[in-house]
Amino acid sequence: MQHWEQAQDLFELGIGTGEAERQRLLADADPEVAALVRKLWQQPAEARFFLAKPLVKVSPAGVFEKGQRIGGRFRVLQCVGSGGMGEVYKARDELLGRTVAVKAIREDVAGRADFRARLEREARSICGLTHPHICALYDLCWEDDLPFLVMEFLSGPTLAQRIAEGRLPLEEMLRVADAMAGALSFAHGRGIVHRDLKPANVMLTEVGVKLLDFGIAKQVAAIRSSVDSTVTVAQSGTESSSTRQGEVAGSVAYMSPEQAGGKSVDARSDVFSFGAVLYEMATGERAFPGDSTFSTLAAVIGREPRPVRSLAPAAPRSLERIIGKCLAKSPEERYGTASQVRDELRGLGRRPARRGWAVALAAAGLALSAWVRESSISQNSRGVGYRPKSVVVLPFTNLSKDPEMEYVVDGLSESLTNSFSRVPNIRVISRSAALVYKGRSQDPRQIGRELRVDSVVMGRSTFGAGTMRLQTELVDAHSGGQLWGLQYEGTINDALKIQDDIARQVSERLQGRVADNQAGRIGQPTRDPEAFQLYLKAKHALSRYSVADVQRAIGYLDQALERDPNYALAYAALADCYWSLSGSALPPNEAFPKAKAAAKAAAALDSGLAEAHVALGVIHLWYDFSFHEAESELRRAIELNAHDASARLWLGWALVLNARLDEGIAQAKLAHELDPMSPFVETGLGQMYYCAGQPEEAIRHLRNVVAAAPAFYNGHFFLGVAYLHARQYASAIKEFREAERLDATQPFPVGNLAYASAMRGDRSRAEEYLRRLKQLSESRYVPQYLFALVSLGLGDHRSALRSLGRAFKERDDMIAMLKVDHLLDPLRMSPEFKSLLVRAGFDSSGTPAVRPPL
Amino acid sequence: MSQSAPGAESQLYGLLYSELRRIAAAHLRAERADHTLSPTALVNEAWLRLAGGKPNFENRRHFLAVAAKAMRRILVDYARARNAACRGGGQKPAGLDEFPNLPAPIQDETILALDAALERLEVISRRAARVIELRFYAGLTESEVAKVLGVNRRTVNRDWEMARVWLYGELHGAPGEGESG
Repeated sequence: MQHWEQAQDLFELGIGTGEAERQRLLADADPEVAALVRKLWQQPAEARFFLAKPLVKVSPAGVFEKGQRIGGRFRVLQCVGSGGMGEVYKARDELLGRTVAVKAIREDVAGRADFRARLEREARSICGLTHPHICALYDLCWEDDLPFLVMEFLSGPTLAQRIAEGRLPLEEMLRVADAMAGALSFAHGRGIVHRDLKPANVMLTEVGVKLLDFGIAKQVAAIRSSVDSTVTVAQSGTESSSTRQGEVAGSVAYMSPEQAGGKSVDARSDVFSFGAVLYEMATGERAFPGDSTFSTLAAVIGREPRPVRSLAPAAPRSLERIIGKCLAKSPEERYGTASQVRDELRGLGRRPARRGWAVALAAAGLALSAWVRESSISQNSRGVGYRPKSVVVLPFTNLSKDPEMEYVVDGLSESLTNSFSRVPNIRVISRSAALVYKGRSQDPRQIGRELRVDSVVMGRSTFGAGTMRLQTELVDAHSGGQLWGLQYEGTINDALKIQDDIARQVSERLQGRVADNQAGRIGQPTRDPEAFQLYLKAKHALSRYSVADVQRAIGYLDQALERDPNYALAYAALADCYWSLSGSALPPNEAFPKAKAAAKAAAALDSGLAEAHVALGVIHLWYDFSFHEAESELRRAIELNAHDASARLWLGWALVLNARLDEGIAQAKLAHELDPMSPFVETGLGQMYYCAGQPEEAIRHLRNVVAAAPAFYNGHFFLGVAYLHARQYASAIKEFREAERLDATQPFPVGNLAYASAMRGDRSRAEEYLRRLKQLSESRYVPQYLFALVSLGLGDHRSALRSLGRAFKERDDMIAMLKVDHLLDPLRMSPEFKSLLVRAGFDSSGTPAVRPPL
Repeated sequence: MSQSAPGAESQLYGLLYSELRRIAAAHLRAERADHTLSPTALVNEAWLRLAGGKPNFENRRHFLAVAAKAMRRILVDYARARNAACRGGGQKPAGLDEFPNLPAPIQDETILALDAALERLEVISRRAARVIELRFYAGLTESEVAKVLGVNRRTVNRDWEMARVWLYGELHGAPGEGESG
């Protein structure tokens, strides 16, 4: 018996070596063992395939058994299906306490020597695909040397089962297609091609449409077929029998011609498969029917499918065209990306889809104001009763050139903007868009064209000793004619009364009348003129966003609140000041509790104050990590003021951070439309794109920001981060250096420079930056996230995870990004990371809510 | 066979052996000309009958572990019967006419030579011989074999790989070389 085992070691060592090595191996061996081994070595290669196929081929028992505990933590509950590579089980993750799907891989599939490496490589790229319409891969584990995949547990029929019941009505089809296209374009953006898109790989679950088996299935199929074909080669002796043959057999009916031909594939191959699925949804029939693999293949490669409308006469002509373009035999003639297909389908489904969208929004408690669809200048002829539908308040001109008075002038135009925002049915151009015109010659007609607005509020003021004079007018942007005008004279303390008057009168002019409650709202932020002035000063300082300015703003607001302790707006601004200091000047667990107290005070004083709800939303989001509460606060803010771009931007974040990417980006786009000139808003939008795995789009937006506001620290910093996501480290370094130059007190550029250097392979520079970061941390708060990032760059995953753990304890706001920060992807598979995700309150299912149908 | 006493195993073996023969005989009576009973169908049917309505994994594994031996025996019996029939001028040995239509999945000579070689392998490594038996005659997976034998899958895999090369040598090598061990 022992001979056998000794022989085994020697036999295996001697495979593939030469005679000299073999002699050396056998030199000390027992003669009987040596004879045995030598005989084994002498056998021809085909001996290795002898008896390879069992005589009795019983349907294999499940790879795993019910009740079995695998991978040290998953309890197998039941088998829920079986496929080409093994069974799928429902299982309980006993560590994290959640239900998962376990995809077993049978040993004949997994037995290949290079399988492990290939599977791991594939899993690593797939696990970064966090998307509401992609079944999430949680883990790759091993049990008794057999790999299995741990995935999001889903239940529901597959699209194949749905189609078997008959073709889909247009609206349902567009909903499924939209989700699929979203998932595909997300994956394509990360360089991952599905390769096996077919109705059986689309699940219609309670939480929405889910794409399964990204990349993995095909990967496994490829390996498997090469296993099978090797056996065939050995038995038939035809060495040329190709891997391709087996590979092709899988899902030929949905395969692109180039894939069927064994050529390399890209996103356009998925576009073809997507087209074949669209065709089948629309018609209920396969695009390329065939009664055998070969005939199906022949159809895919050479035959045009029957026209969609010959099978589904009610289908729109443009749907037929879109599907036809997806199914073009040559990749060059297809849509280049899945998102192009989606855009076309959305155009096609505009009427029904819009209705669905509006209904969904209404259901979500959102009152979508009419302006969205009326944003272009109304062209109708204007009679006596003409009332503008949109207005911009230009920065008032300070004719005295006294910089001391700047804050009063700016503050007046800003609070007028805010006041008008509350007036129903009027589109108000954002403050930041208006600021572009500060100090420029102001031709209302030109401004009207540029901002697509039909009325303009302008003002000029002069100041004497303690007195001020203000001329204001409301001008029709089409004709340039005055609609209303007034002149004030008084002391600076009258500023409050003046803004109140202008607001009411202009509103009346715009509206015809002002509802009483609105008049009250506009007129009563505070009765104390001095408190109002202090508030204006604070807002002015806050708008500059440097740490020193924000600290000054806090001083003003404290004074304002001393004068009027019931000044809700001042409390809301105070909340903004505090949270904006988090990370940059104060640790989050000092800054946010103060912000929270202020925001709560604001909301308690005036529950109808949008600003208070925005602040609460921000705090829930970046400090409490309670995304659902954040979402409801922000939606409330939007209800109160539909024109508040910041509320929409933060709402976008609340959605994006929980991987509701499309919805979130849609909100940020709305914010960007509301406030196209705001560098903050466009920066946020750009950041969301890299969270969604579209770094190119992120770079495009952030470049806009940097071009428009070259001195804006955030713009350069986040452009740098976008470059990190795109793995363009040299460009990233350039931007971080610029950010550092603009604000040398910030630790963020230093940490990111360390990471970028490390990722470029410049270890010594990375370590130098790390030293600087540590130095900084002695004198100020440095977020632990930065240390995590640097460790990650240096390849020290354990330290990275430890730092992230500390970041969570400190409630570092970057923890809120945990789910969508793709820089952290290499850590995603580790149990520590996963438990962190759960502790941070992310839905363990990976899919937090039902997405409104688009 | 780690999970059952030797007595119980031989009892089950006897039961299974006669069951397999009974199934083959029943098939013969109901047989259509184009229909032959494959070893796989035979084993499956025996399993369905013996396990009844309540199959479970452990029973199944246990069953297959025994079926492997029974199948090996039956194939050898069958090959011998055919050989004898040929040599004896069409005269079949008594008792074996119930499964003439069990097709030879591999050549009779191979079945017999393999059986003999496996007996020699048992002398060198009982475990390796059993791995072949379980995988080849009953189609158990490596994991199942590992569970039956109470070893890990890696061990099963190594035995499976080397034993087949060894058997190939026994069956294809020059005569007289097959006495190693």
